[in-house]
Amino acid sequence: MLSLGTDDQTRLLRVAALTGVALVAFASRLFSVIRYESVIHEFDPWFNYRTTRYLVEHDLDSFWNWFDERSWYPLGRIVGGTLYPGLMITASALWNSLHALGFPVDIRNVCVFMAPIFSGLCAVATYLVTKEVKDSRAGLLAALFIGVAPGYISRSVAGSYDYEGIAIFQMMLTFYLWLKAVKTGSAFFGGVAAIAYFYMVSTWGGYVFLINLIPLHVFALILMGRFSNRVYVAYSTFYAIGTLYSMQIPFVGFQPSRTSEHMAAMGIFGLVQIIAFVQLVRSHMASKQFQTLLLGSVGVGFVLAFAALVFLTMRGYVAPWTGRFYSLWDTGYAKKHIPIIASVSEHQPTAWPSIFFDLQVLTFLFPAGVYFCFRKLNDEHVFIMLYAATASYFAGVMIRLVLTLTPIVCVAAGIAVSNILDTYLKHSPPADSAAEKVASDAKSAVAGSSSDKAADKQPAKDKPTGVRNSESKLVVVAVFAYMMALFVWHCTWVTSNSYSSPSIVLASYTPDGRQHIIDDFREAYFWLQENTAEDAKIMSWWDYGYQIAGMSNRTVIVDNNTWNNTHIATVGLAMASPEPRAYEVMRKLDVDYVLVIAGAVLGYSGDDINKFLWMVRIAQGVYPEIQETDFYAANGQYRVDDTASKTMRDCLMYKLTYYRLNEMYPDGNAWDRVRQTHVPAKNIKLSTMDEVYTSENWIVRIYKLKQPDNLGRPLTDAAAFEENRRRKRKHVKKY
Amino acid sequence: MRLWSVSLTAAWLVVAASLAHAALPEHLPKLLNQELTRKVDLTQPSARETFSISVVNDDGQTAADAYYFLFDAPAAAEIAFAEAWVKPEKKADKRKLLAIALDTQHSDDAQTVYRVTLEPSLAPGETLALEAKFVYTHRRLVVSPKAVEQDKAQNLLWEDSAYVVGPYASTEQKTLVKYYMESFSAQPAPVKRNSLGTTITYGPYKVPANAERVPIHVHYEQNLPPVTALEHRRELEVSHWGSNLAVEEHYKIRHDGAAIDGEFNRVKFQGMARKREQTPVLYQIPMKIPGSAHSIYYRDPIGNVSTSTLATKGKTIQLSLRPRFPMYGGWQYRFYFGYDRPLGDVLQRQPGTNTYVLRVPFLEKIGSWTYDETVMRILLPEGASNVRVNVPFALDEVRHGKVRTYLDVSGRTAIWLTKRNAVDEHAQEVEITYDYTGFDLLRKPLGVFGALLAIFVFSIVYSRLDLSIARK
Repeated sequence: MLSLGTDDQTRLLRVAALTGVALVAFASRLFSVIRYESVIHEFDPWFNYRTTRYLVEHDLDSFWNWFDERSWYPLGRIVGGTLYPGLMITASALWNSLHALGFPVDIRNVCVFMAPIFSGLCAVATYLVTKEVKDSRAGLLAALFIGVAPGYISRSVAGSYDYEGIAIFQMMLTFYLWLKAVKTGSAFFGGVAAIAYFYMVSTWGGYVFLINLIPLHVFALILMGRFSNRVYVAYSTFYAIGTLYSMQIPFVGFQPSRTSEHMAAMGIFGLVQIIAFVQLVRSHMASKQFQTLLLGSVGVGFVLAFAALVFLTMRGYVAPWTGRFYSLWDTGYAKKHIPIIASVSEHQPTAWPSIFFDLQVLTFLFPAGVYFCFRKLNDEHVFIMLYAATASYFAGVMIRLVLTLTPIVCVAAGIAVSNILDTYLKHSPPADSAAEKVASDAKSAVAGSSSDKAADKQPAKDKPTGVRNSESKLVVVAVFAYMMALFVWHCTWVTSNSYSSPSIVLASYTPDGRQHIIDDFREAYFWLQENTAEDAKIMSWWDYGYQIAGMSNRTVIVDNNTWNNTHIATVGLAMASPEPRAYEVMRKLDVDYVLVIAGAVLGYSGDDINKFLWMVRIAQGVYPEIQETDFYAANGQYRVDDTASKTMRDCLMYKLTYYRLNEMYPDGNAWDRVRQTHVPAKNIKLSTMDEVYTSENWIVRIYKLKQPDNLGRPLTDAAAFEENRRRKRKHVKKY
Repeated sequence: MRLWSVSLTAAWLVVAASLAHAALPEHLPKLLNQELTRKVDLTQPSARETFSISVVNDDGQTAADAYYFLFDAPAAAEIAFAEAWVKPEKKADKRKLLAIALDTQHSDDAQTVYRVTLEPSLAPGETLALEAKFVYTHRRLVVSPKAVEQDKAQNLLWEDSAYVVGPYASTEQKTLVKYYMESFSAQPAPVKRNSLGTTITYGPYKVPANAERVPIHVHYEQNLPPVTALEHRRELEVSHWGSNLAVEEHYKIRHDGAAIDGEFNRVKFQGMARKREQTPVLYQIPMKIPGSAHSIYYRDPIGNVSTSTLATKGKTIQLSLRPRFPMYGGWQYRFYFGYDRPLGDVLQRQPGTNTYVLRVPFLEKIGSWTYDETVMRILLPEGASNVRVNVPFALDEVRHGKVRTYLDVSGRTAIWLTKRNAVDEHAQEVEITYDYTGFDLLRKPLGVFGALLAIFVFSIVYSRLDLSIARK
């Protein structure tokens, strides 16, 4: 800083602060790598990882044409046409460039660190957005907030290799470029925003939010009488280029012109054209004639357009809203009509504590920030307000949408805090030179929480009174510094405790503090990979489909891409039926192995018996022979002990879960540590399958289907016959 | 000497058929085995035969320049390692190794011939104390029965002839079979058995030349798992900058012992916790690595394996790797592990020159495994030249090439050494000599320096260029 001018000093400080924030955002997501290992987490990331590996091993062409026969057996899945390829292409591009530069990094490590890297970039994008709305001081604060806010970290820790990890960055980048386009009225920025939008479309289905929010912004501007040539140019370029680009993604295809979700954007595009035309006409006409013409044409046009939309929808040219979309308006909709969506925990409505858990003090700063936007009402502030309102609604409806709320909360909170610091941290003696002011501003923005020190340094010359005196300033700044420190502490705590567990590896601690790793999932999955035939078909509940395909490299019947409800219901039917019927269903599905998750021994509560009622409900929707009520005990409770209903105790899932469990315990004391109850001590007999593997803590159990009997008997009879013969032989031996 | 006569009768049943030795060269100098002792060691999953022969040239005319060992072809196909030497005067003396090789010219479908070159040749009337060792892969021993219940022991079957046959007559011949644990008797009944019951002796017999085999078999309990490494890659990387030798070994193994008869039962497995040695289950892989090793890791294709323990014992580190799952007959597993060790332990600079000598073992011994194919890859630093490889046994393939990895410009010098059918006896030292100059050492920093310089120069130039079309 020796010979730099104050401008350069600020810029240097700003760059340094922003780099620091990006690094913090990156580093705070590494808990799981340090605590466990560099491993892919959860469920969906395993699919993304598997496809990325495929892309790296083959080329882009074969990736588009990839027919995956390893999933949804016997239907298969056309992968290239049913996924958003942005994530995989980004990762493989990164991997290829690293290799070209002579760094032979493993593709797994690239995938694991994708989300943290893009979170760092997202902090920069958020800085840019906030800078457009207020200034760079607010931008730095917003960047810091988004860097550490648990609401975003929850989906972007290292190893969480999922769409959201990079999509939030793309969304903020698009918003920044959009604001820039609206402010400058430049077709160039509109075009660049369209490219950023295309990148976002290629990555995440959540782009629908963006393609509705931006038209909404335009519409609001029109209603507010803020329509201008800038808006016209920006939106026309953005929509035209963006839509054409987005249609290049095979999974999106003609949706932008055929589904209701995209109709708003198209309608606004038409409206903008009309308005621009009308303005052109007005500039060439007398005002009275113009009024009549305007009312007439706009009214007729609107009615015609709406009628056309209704007509096209009814004729089936335009698809109506999808079920997933309806569940956004009516939170009970999914439970009634699509149990498969309701069965996913992240689709539940958000509880208030979880919002506070994810955003902490930002929750309260958020409205303040929106208020400050009201005070300075420009085009970009309208955008912030609309984003805030819509995202708040969606975050309340579905827990996973807290993710889309987080960036705007951070932006608004950044504006709020920076306004407060502007007022209370700024030493405002009239004689101060402008340059010094800028420097101290930058410093305060950088220092953030410790900026109260900077405040005391400056001696007050003539004492102002009331809230403007330095004591009250000190108090306010100190309180905010404390809150910010608490926020960072909270974020670190939440990240470390709640969001950094890979979920395929569990950890417990021995009394002397050593970590004990429970690795049953990988144990069993790897057993499958090594010790089953290459083309073996594994049946399990759909939750484990991606993991089995990724870690065992075997064919699965259903997986987490829940596109075929009937197929899933068939698996549910097999699980909920008694053994002979289940065997029949499984033979039809050509199943070789069945895999169940049983937490009874260890007390792992996310096991299949706890999910079983969902299987029953989903099966019931397609196969009326399954009735949910049959699975409840006489007193109407869901039980697994002696009081469990006969249907429950005969069904395949129950048998596979508790097979041989009683041998572990002394007579009659078999205990289920999840349900905290006794388990019937009677031996469970399996006649249609053999246990082939059970993991160390009994979490994963794998059974192999027997071949049909040579004599054509049902397997149950054959087993009973064998049993009898053995008993007889023993009998003979005795005498 | 009752047994002696029995054996003689047995031997005279044999006709000196000319067919059996038609393969051997004609006019062999007549040698006589005055005393031949064959020790068969079955204590490990793979069999080892050691011959101790006192040979006399009985020909009277020609000096013998070779000694031939004859094996049944099916059994001999499993010989992985052969070594012959002259018995030293004192035990402590260094052995004088003799060249031994598979004589493909004289082997046929029925018999396999190994030829020991006698150097110097054995003059008429002279006596030589010859010793030889043959190591088989574990496939020489047959798992019988193929499947046992999960808590039952594994039994192996060794079949051979009661005495050694060949082109030479033996005046006195013994076969000692040492095995691990007794639970089955051998047929035909052995002549002698030691007090502990761990060694049985056949003979002494007097055997004529070209005698026919008298089949015997030993069926015994052996719970050490016979493991095959289907693929094994041992990758070494020499770094002069880090003064470090990075070792990484990739294994794909299969348990070739007795399979489970019936279901796998976790309860039974847990109940067997204290007596797992009584079943052939492979639940941990004992690995010995040098004591100076550090930064040890153990992984498999889907991530880190957390179940391993480490104990330092003097100059070695005992590394117990537990596979993700216990392994029974027919089960497979893949894993890799690696560590770093100081380069000073294995690398020497020849004084006053730029020539370095690297001495590393070809294998690390693990429980007498059989390696279907093992490839050792040595990465020398970028720019190492004039590479010479010296291996004490015959390799199947030696390949030189280049591998481009971290911060390389042209790629590092690499050598691949391939050996099929390897056993513990191949864990011998490999010697690699190469030249490496001071300039080569500076390649990397210069490369990084150049790349950064290019970036800075580019950015300096770029920031000063005005690329706009219209002047502002």
